[in-house]
Amino acid sequence: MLKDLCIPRMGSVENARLLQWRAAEGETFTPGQVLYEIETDKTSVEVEADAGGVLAKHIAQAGDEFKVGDRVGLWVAPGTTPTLIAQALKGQTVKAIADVAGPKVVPVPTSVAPMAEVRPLPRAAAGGRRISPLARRLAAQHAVDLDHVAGTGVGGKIGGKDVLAALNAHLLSPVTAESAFAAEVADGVSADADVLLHSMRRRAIAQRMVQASAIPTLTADMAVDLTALMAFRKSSQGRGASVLGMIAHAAAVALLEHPRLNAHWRDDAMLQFRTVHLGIAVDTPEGLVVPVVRHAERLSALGMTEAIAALAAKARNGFLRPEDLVGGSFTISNPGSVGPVLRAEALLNPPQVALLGLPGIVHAPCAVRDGDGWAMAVRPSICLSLSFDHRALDGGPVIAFLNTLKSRIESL
Amino acid sequence: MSHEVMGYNAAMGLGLVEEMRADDSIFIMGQGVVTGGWFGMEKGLVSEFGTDRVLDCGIAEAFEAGLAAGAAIAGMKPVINMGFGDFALIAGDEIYHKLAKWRYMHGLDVPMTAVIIFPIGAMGGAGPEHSSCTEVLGMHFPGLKVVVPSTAEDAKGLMKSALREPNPVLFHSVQGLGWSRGEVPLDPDFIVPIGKAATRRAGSDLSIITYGSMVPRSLEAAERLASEGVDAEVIDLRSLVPLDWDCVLESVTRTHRAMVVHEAFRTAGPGAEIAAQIQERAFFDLEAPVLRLGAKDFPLCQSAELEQAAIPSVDTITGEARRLAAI
Amino acid sequence: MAAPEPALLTDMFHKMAVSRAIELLMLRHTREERFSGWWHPGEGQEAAPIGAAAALRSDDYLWYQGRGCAWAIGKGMDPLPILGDLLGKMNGATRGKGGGVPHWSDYGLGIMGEGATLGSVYPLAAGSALASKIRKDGRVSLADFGDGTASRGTFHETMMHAAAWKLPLIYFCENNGLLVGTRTEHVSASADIANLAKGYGIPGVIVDGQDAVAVYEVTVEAVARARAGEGPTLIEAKVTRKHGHYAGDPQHYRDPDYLKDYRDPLELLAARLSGNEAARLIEQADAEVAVAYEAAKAAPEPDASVIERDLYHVA
Repeated sequence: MLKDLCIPRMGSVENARLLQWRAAEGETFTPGQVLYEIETDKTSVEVEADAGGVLAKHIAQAGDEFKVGDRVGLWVAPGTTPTLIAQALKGQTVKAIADVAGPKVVPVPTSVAPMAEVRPLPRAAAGGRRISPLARRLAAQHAVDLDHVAGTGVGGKIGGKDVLAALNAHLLSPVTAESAFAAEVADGVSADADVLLHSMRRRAIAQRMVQASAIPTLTADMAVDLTALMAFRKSSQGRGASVLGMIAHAAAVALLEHPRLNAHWRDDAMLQFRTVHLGIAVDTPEGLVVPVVRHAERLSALGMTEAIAALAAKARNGFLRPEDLVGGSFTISNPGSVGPVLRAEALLNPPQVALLGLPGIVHAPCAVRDGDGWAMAVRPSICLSLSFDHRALDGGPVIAFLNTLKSRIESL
Repeated sequence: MSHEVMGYNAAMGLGLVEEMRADDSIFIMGQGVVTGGWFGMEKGLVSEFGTDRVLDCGIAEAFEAGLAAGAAIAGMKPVINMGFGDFALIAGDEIYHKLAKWRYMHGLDVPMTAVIIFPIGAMGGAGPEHSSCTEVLGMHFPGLKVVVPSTAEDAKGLMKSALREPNPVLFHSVQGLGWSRGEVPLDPDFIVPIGKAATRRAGSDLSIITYGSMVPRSLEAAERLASEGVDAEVIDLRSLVPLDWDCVLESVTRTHRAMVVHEAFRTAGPGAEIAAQIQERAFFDLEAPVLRLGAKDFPLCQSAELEQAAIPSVDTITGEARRLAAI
Repeated sequence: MAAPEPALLTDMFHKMAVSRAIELLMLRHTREERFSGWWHPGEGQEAAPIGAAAALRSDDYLWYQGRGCAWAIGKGMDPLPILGDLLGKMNGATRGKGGGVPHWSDYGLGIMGEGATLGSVYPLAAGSALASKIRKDGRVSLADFGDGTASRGTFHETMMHAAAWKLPLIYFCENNGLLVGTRTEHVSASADIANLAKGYGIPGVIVDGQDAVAVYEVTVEAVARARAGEGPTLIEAKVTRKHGHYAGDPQHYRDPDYLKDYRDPLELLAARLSGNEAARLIEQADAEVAVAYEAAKAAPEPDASVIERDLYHVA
């Protein structure tokens, strides 16, 4: 009669941490009622009940970490009496996930990979020590040198957990806060630093940044005069539109003309999109997130402004859903909104092949047409930074895109 | 729908009664079924369904099983209570040839529902020819489905599934659990699907793959192991044909250690096949060899004490699991 | 006694002629071409199956065990699925699994099939008979067997229950005095299997098994008894086995005098037909079988996927 309450599948989300229970043990819930809240590597999510029932038990506690599909609680059919629930719970051995998880380690997939993909190391690789089949496979799968693995089994046997421990030590050693902290204390550099353990989101960002940094990325800059844009904002037609919204709108339309920048890179092919799902990088206290404006090409400048504002508010208040974060075809990053940075070069948001960075708006003296000659004027301008994946794109199409974008913005 | 606490045999009987009410092609035959059966499962059947559908027969197992095959091919749904699993051997031709192969060898793809009930295992001194665990025979001869419920709830749910199954089912009721009690759903739509295992206890250090009488013992062993810091997962297979390999392999690839525990003889018992397939399909997920626990390879004695000494106990399961965790 | 109508006689003769044509064809085929398995010839023993099957309704259940193919032909099966099976082709009754010990069945015709463990029909036939009794559908089940398997335990187990429950069941014994290579007198004190009926309190009837009409007449009576709810009958047809147990059997066990009284059932039945009808029917049967044989030979061979068919039914 007891049924499992499991972390639901949400897009590409893999890891989650329980933030808090919103339904108490013994509480009757209705479909759609929020049962608990989790933090994923992308956002925090309220998990709702699919059906009505009674919450029998909290297995997990706030702060516990999970994989998608893990069990966090138990529930029973509506109308089940507390006595029956108690009986059932007595019969059921409930295991707290936190106990199972043991010491916190970087999660390493251990499930079996098809034999064809991973060729387990020969037993000889263990240098005469006993080694389990699992350890042979994991060592091959994660390229762990068995010379650096200590066998902790009977008679020094190397088991799977020994390989994982070695792998974890390797993955964690440069970034483990405590070890770095200890080293700094030993150096006498800093005796009074605070240790701030990484949030799930920080870890995910770190991973993605390392991934993005491996892509051969170049950035092309182009200055754009914003006089016309500023004037448009003051017109009745443009009232309420933000600079970001207007540039994003112009970019979305320009992308339809230059679809090679509105694309995903895959090793075997490019995926060139006919619609624009525009990622907008938003800075939040927990770190950067990139929610996506769907069908940006269908929005006016004002519509774009509103859509971006709504997503940013959701991001800052922690209300983003996992589906808000997937499927972008192009990204705009706007560090200029935080401060007057001069350039907005950025790492890409893979598998996207291009990203538009907006630095601060400056009022700069420039030469402007004056009859047949030139005159000096002070004009508002911005230096657009277009970072692109050089595997997918050469400079030509990128500059062509910037030209289109520039003329669109300057001729508003 | 509500639940009721009832005995294992009574739950099996309830499953049968509910299906007999819904389907008048079901009839039951065995020794003493008119008077309530040997273990009480058939109590009250004759007063509701009459002697057309509740039939006593002689001590003639080959006849009973052959009749089941013939009636099933003719479109009826016979249920035969064989009294003891040992008697499968008396009706070997009828069960493992006729029930299992008739359609196959005639090239017929037609439904054939028949349920043969085999009470199996030690029951406290029934002796070497009334305590056999014969379920492995059903695994070896293709064409049959094989179930072994370990709880009252499953006894009912699997009986109902067996009577809705268009293939012959060898239904092994566990004599050692015959009087055990448990909560049973009264919903007539409740069934336990054939071919689905149940994880009775989640664990991370090793997987105990078991069924039938060894499920409660394995759970008790798991509790003892937990107090020693060994976290055992306990899987109740419930069906041996088809066997829920997905569940078994998923568990083993998580815990990396496995042992199979059953009451049947260890040599060439169901555990031999299960252990062999685990190592064939998940060798490079294993930390240790797959262990098997079963009855000693000697006929069971009539003495109830010697009988218990010959089959896996909570102590032996705990001990072997401890050894497995340390490899 | 219910003598058969002329139209039924014609039908019986035609079926016997078709059976005979297949028998002769198979004897030639197994000699001259590759045959997978063993052919158990029934040539010369066609009268009992043809006569008994003629007394059954098409929805009555037939569980045969005999040699040759006369039971299936008698109950209405076409030659093609039979020959297709014997040649191991996809258009055989078993859909490519092959035959030798035949497993022809056709549920529409009440042909329930044959077990290859000899003497396995008794409880199976009791099963269909019990089904008819519970459903009150008026159908009769016939269990065919040889004198050799009268020594099986299930012969007794089944008849004891069937007689007590008055099942609509007919035990039909083809007694040819030989069980594979053993002479029946070596294992039975009584030469007549029908004697066994007494112990169960049911009628036991002996009939000339080479004479299809005589067999038909006693079977009609047994069927009437069964349909009336009066219970089982044991019929013993005394027949002659012209050939060895299987085609190619060296028959070291054979008594040289065994065949001296042999009478051909086809000739016996022909004597009851008028003019040259018998010759015409034989010609027609030969032509039908020749066409079926060619169709069977031309049919596709099974591929290995046949191995994985028909084990479990999926609802």
